[in-house]
Amino acid sequence: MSLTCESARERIHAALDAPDDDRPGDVSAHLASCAACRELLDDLETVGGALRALPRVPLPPATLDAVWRETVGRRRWSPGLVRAAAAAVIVTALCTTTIWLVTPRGPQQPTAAEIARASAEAKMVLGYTARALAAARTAAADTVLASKVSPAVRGEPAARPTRRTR
Amino acid sequence: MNLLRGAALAMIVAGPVVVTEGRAAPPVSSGYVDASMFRALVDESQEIVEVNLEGAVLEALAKQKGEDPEDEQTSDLFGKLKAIHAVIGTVKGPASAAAALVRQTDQKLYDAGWQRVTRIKSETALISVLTHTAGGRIDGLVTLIFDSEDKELVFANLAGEIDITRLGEIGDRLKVPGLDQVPGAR
Repeated sequence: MSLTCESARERIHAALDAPDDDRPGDVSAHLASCAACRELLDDLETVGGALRALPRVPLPPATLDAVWRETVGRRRWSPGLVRAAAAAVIVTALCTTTIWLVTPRGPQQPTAAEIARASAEAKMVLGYTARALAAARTAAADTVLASKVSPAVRGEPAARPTRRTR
Repeated sequence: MNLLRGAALAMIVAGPVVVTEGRAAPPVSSGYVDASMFRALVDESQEIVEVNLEGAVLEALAKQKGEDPEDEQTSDLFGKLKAIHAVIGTVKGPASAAAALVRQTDQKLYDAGWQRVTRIKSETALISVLTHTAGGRIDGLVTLIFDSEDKELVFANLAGEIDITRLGEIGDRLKVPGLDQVPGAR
């Protein structure tokens, strides 16, 4: 089966890119019968030969540096920038840690049983405190009765109190 | 190397924050009194009631809503407190040692600026109630009760905003078993 011009030209380009390879037989057969493709091959070989014949001109170092700076060099970080970035990371980490440490976290909510027990305990403490305060009131009344009222009723001098209150 | 030095310096600066976090919590207010000496005095082999209520538990008590309006008053009272600590138990060793500790504590608090609401001393019982005031408001209350006959010791400390009149009213209403045994109370 003979090649079409399109297939033959693809193979011609591939063969020119790899000049060491032998030209495939079917391409040679197509070229023998197709003047247009043969003309294209001649033109491509002429241009290639002319380019290879041009003298090699080395690029000046300044140009190479400029190209480097504008391409690869743009992505390169200066040592100062690296230090600044590292310092920023450390400061951010420390701030986050410090805030986490000093921020009061919500206390763990007590269970219903804990609240019930705490309620009983708290009421007991309040009860004892109230009883102590009541004892103070009673003692104060006793003191007044013993030291002031009773002697006055009996017509005696005031007795010294046996209980002290303030 | 500068980076390492900077990181080390930063860790030193951050260090005290971490250490502070690990320390025991400071007293919640100036009305707080350490109960550990009384805790050491009570007999472990007998019944002991130790109460340590602070923070979330007290907040939960303050949020409790009952059907009775008196419950609401009690919740309000709890809401203004920062801590409730108490030790109730039978002292070990001679009663005279416990009585001496109660007297010493009473005197120590008095010397530290606490005001005595009452101090009742009979042949067998010692009752002392002291309050601590800050900014014209009572922010601490200590109740010390010791009965040398049955060697029962009560230490109670309330820290926070305290309305003594309201506290007495609410406490009187509470039907807590055993309170009739408090010496001097009727």
